[in-house]
Amino acid sequence: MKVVGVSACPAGLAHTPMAAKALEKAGKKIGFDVKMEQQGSMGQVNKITNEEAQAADFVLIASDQHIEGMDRFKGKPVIRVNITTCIKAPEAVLKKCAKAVEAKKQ
Amino acid sequence: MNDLLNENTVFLNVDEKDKDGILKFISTKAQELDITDDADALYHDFLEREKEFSTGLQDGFAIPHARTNNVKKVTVMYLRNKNSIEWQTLDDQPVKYIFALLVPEKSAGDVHLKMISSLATALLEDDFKNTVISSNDKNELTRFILKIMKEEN
Repeated sequence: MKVVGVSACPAGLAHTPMAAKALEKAGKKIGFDVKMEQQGSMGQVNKITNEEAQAADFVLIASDQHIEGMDRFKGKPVIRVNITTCIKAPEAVLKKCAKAVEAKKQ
Repeated sequence: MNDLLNENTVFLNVDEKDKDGILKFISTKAQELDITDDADALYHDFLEREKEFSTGLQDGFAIPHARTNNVKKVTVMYLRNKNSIEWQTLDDQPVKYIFALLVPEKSAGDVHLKMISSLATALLEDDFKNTVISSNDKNELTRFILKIMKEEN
């Protein structure tokens, strides 16, 4: 399962990198290829390219904020999840999203 | 003593009763250390941030932060409180270990922001948390946290 996503939080200082890292770590554990872009205090870090976006099975937005560059994800299933949920239970978030995406395909 | 975290910003015997007390403690110390000119305004910045959503994490940790004009230089404080206090956390556990992040609104500099980012992601690691919870040597602890903050994440 290929996953790309963006994390963002109000101050962009701590929760943004935490969520990104937590999801990437959880992805490694369960065999998902996860790349998270951070839109935080340092601007866009670990930016997702158009190619990466289009190759993904789904897009995970770990934020309830405005996200830059949503047009990259056009035509892809986009799932928004609360950023704190992504920090707390990254593995469950990935699995649940994957399941939902699979179910929709059928 | 120019680092954003140093022995003067590490407090291992804090004795506050609630979150409010902690935020006031941080703000008062920030004024004493010349990180802010206005402890009261800084305290309100912290409160505002907490209102957006709580900065409580898991395993007794919290990361209150303020990115505001009332902060003059990027600073990280570490506080260990004597008793656990209420803090709306991800695992509903009370808080005892606090990293306060103080960042000026403008031109904080990517080096420092990167260090804060490394600190935040280190808080996902049990090894880091265990050391921060148990170490009683201020000097050693300061060096340990700084080292982690300077590592690429």
